[in-house]
Amino acid sequence: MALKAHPAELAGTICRTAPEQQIGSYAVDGLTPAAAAFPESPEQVAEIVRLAGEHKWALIPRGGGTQMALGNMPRAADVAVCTTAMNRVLEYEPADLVVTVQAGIRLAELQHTLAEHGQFLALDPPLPERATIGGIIAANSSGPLRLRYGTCRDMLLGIKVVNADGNITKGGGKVVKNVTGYDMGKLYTGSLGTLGIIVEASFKVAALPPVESTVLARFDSLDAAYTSGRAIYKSALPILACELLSPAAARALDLEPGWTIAVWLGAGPAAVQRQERDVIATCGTATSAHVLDEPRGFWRALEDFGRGQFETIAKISVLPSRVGELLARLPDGDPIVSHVLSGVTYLFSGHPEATAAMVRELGGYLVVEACPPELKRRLDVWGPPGPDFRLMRRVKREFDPDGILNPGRYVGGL
Amino acid sequence: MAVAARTLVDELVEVVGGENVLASEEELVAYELDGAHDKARPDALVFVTEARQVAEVVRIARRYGLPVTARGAGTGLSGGAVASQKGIIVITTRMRSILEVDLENRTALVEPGLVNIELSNALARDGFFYAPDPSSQKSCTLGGNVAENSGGPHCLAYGMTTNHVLGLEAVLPDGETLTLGGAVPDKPGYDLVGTVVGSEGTMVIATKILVRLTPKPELVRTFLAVFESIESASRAVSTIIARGLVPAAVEMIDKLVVQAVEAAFHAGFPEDAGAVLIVELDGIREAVEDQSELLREICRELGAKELREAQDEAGRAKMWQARKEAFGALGRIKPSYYIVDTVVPRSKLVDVMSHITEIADRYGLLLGNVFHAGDGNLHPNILFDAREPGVMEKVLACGKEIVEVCVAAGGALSGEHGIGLEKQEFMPMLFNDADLAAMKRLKAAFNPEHFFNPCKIFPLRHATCAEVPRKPGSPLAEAAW
Repeated sequence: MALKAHPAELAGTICRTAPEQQIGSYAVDGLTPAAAAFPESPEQVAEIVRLAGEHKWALIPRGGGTQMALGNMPRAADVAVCTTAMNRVLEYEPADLVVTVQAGIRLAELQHTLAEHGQFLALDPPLPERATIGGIIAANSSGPLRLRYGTCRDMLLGIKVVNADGNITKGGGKVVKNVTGYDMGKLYTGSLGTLGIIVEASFKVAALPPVESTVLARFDSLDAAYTSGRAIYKSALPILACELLSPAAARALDLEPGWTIAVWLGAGPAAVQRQERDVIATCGTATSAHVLDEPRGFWRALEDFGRGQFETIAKISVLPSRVGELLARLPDGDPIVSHVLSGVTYLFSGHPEATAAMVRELGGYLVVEACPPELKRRLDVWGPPGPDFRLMRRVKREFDPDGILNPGRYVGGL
Repeated sequence: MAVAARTLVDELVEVVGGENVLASEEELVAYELDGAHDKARPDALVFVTEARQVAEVVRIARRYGLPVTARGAGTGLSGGAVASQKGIIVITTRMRSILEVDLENRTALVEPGLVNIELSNALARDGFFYAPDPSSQKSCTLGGNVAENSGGPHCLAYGMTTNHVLGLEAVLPDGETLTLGGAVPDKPGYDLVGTVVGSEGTMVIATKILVRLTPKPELVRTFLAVFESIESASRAVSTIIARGLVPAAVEMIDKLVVQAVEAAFHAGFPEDAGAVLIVELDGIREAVEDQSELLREICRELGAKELREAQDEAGRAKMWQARKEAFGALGRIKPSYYIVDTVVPRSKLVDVMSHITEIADRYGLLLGNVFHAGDGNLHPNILFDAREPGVMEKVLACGKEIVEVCVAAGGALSGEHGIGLEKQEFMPMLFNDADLAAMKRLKAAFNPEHFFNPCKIFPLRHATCAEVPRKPGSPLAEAAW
């Protein structure tokens, strides 16, 4: 009987692999792969995928590793495919507000390049110094700016992936309006690497607002804070973001403890001043409402809230009009950061199962974005799939019939 | 054959009633075309008035081995609603209610036959509108908009149809009905709604659509910027975008079309201008004032002959009528027109516009440009007289060369009209066999037998034509495909 070549050896013929003593850092939910590969091009990714198909390896795509806790435990993990060596800006035309990058580029690095031209990618997920574009797309990560600018799906123009059959394929393009063929970008966004490994992406970017400002308002009660938030929404001011923080979250952000509304403004000077006035006036029941000096640090801290600190993080989505009900039923001592007007709330606490049942009653979804592996043995982190799951299963079967991409990690165990 | 057809009609009549089934040649001839040139007659056409009828008709069609093509108002421009493989057309124009409106969450649940403008009209009093506004919005339907991921002038700031569709109830090719997506954000799982929008009727037939509503802006200002030439107008557009100004809309109309619309609508556009831009700014008062100042600066810098502002709602409406109904006015120049729909990066606008003018000149054809310049979405309309011998071949060849120039400039095959029949053979300009194979895999998850709207989007050699089991004597069994 022939000995099977070790995956690290085989992958090592294609690209750099992590040394054996470091392989533990590539574990997912306690499962350590046999190798971690660092391809430097889509072609190298394709070769690894082809090898995986031949040898029936389970591949674990990985970017900056900031969201590896997302998903159910993998059924198997043979080779981690790490994209961080593919980290270049491929094309950037500031006059078009379009940029094309390799998937392994860190978001912060991309933002730095764009800022030199007064532009930015309007995505603010956690840990941008580490998170890669490919991972952000695959996990559909987002932050407070989603209120104004939307999420990945609203700015992704084109995408290139390596599919499970080892082919490099693309969809979309590099123009802001495009109905040429199926919208593959929407398919791969949020698919957690289960349909293909993202290698390149094109985005439309935005001009940085000339002036930015932040209003903070502290309230004595959840009800007062939530009501003020909804009133800001109704005013239809073009605010960039509006967050509602529980007293524990406010304290953790070095603010006066209390239910806190934080509003991010960005526009020309007169428009910003007008919005500051209107927002403060709308927060009439606040115990204090003021414009924050140095808002950048505050928003960075808020975007990163709790990551690497709390072992269990739940993302709860409900209808925006029901966020008040949701917050009222969450344990009020826990840190809660809510994109209150978007309907998405993050809960940093240890007991997602009880909360999940309550969220389902409200017609929403609860996804456990991080938790100890023991908890993953008991629950499906995505929650129960819906009736459209049979379509999702058919999509997965078409794209990855042998189940080599992140097997078992996705919704319904896909 | 005649016996089989009568039985089919009987079954269809049982589902929707006799007045909702068309099966005679004379009745069907009106439904051979969409808004463009490809034509084909279906075997039967069924008006549906309820969602469950769509599922039942689909199941009947399966048994007869007949493909199904959905149709709204038939204003499409790429052959999406043309039953090129015959079969049954399911037409939704009699299923057009607004089912629910939720202003708190800014959503509305509508039926696919609802006319686009009627949704905005119904919401106006509450201070909302539905943002994607194709030029055909006075007749096109939401269902068609979903199938084609339709655009319109205001997509520049507000996004396309896909950015405004949150959920769908849809009938699948296997006859089952599913709900996809919904009003609650970030539903776990694949973005099936996002993959279906723009799938041109080849994946599902939508029976209910959940859309996002947009609050009406505090202030709207509509400007007409007048330029000596297409070149200077194009430069202005590129500059507007490059400076980070995102108007609600930037439309360009060239001299030929301005003269035609003036004769038709008397909007007061200057007939000696090389090109005009309609630039609309909206938002809160202070933001619109900032943007207006930047616009004035850019127009001054780029030598605009004039920058005038609509004085009131009536003036604004007149400007937009001239733009949106321009195609109708083209009949004054030549009896026929072929709307080319492509898209290029804004930074390439000046070069591409000059290049396509040169191409049309070479073919001896007249070109009338009226398009969404702000998005780089070109509509160089080729004006011709179909009675001229050999002109159709010239028109199509000219159109193809224009598309090739746009692709070479970094553009795409279609900005908003879709691929359909019109451009299926152009797909290899942008996508290789592996790219198309991946798209076909996606299609196979929904429509493995190519039963819905077969032979569209993909080049014909890719064989995405119907493969449903054929009943002996059914039209499909006899068709070339």
